[in-house]
Amino acid sequence: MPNLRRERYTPYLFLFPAYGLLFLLWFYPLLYAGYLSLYNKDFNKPTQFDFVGLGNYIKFFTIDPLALTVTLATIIITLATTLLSLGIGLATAYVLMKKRSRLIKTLIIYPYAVPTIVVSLAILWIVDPTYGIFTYLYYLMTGIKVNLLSSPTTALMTVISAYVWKYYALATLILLAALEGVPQERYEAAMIDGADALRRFIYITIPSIKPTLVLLTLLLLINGFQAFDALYQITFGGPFNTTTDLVLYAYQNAFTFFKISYGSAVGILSSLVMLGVAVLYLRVIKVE
Amino acid sequence: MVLLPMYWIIYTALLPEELVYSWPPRLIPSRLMPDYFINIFKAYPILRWMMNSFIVSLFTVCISVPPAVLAGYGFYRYTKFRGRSTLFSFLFLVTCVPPTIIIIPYFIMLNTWGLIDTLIGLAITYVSFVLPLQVILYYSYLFSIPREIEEAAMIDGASKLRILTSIILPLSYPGIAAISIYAFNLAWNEFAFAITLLRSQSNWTTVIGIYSFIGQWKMDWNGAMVTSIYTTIPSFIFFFLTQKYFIKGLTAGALKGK
Repeated sequence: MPNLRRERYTPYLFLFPAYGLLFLLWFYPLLYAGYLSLYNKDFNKPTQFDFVGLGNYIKFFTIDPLALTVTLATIIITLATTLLSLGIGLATAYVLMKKRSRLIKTLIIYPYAVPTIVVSLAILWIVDPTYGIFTYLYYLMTGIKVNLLSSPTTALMTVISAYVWKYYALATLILLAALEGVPQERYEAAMIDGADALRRFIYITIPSIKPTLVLLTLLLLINGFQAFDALYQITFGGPFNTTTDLVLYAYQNAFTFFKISYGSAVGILSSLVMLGVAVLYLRVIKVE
Repeated sequence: MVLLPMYWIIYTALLPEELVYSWPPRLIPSRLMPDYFINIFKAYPILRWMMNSFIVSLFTVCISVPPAVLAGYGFYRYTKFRGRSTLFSFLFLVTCVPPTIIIIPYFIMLNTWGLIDTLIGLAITYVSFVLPLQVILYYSYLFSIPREIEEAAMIDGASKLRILTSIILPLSYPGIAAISIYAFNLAWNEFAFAITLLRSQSNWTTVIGIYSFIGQWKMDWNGAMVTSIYTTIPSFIFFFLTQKYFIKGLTAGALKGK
């Protein structure tokens, strides 16, 4: 006969190792970051360690001149990456849906498997102001030798392309699986009713893959918001901090300028924002 | 469009040194020199870097997979216990927080524990990245195992732990493979933590190695490209081994609802 007392605790036992690790390796550092953000520890002034409460946060919202630029950059990068990856991914998946070729599918999807540094490297090489192929082609068309990384707009576009190149592949992969799960009868019924391809797409395809779309969008939003690697590697914040997102900004404050506490504060702030966005997003979706 | 970057990488890797710096850049080379693929090992400690990446990734997998399997099974088997949905939601919470902010405390923590600039220290940090998704994926995967087998074992009086080890584990091998490969891949490709928490050149992972090629004025593009190719191949392989399950997990989860 099962021992009821033990039965009650066993689920927790199973979960204990994982959650124990998470607590130690994630929650504790997070709390520590929060703790740091309430002081003004600065490696430039080693003896300084005073409690400033919400001072760092207030500083971000009022005095810091870069706060706005960074927040704006974050929003642009996140939205652009998500929408573009989603759009291109959906289109590609739709086109690939009918094909059977493994090879084509493999080729289209490989960008996601490539480590970000390689993508950054390729981009750096392509837009290199002296030898890059992009620079050359642009030169052929307009006679101007551009440096894409020296102007904020184009630098942003370059960095976004790096991420879209990588993430559209993930979107395609996931959407392809979802699209192939849509029962054919729905399409056939729609065709009998005389719906053309566009109508079929809007009223059959999209609703059928809605759950996957929701999950994928959230995933892309989270990844876009946390973008760090390519920004660090290609522009390191870009011409005058114009390609710095919140995450990179937090990092730079902590490790380049040694303002550990302020960096932590920015970091905590960005997590709260991400959390807020995620919660809001899920709430909006549930309503529908 | 998609293939251009990769083509360009392979192409540059094969070029002889002088031709790399040519204007206008050509699409079809006049000469190819694949020797660098071999010679690079003498010029840079590539093998050392790959070894380091491998060790870190292996550690990450070893530390993260067993707890993930246990937790995934716990969620799967026990559907009603206090705090279940909270604990499950906690996993989503962890995914939302940018891992980059905990670099700061980790830097200090690892320093205190003397684990800065060690491969195992780095692996420990990766565990928190991969655990949540591993639990979710493994949990989703368990649904594809027929319940009758478990029930038969329970009737025979086996304890839950026994069921897990003797029956579930062997049957869920693809699921375990999937989460292992996922963790391995993530650790292999990770950059931010590696560049911050490792110091000495001999501890560099391949990703850091590639980054080190990028210089302000002079740069060994050949070397960078060749190393990139060597790094991408394992990543590629791991990814394709995983993606089937990864996708199934994501879409199956969506079908069942959150």
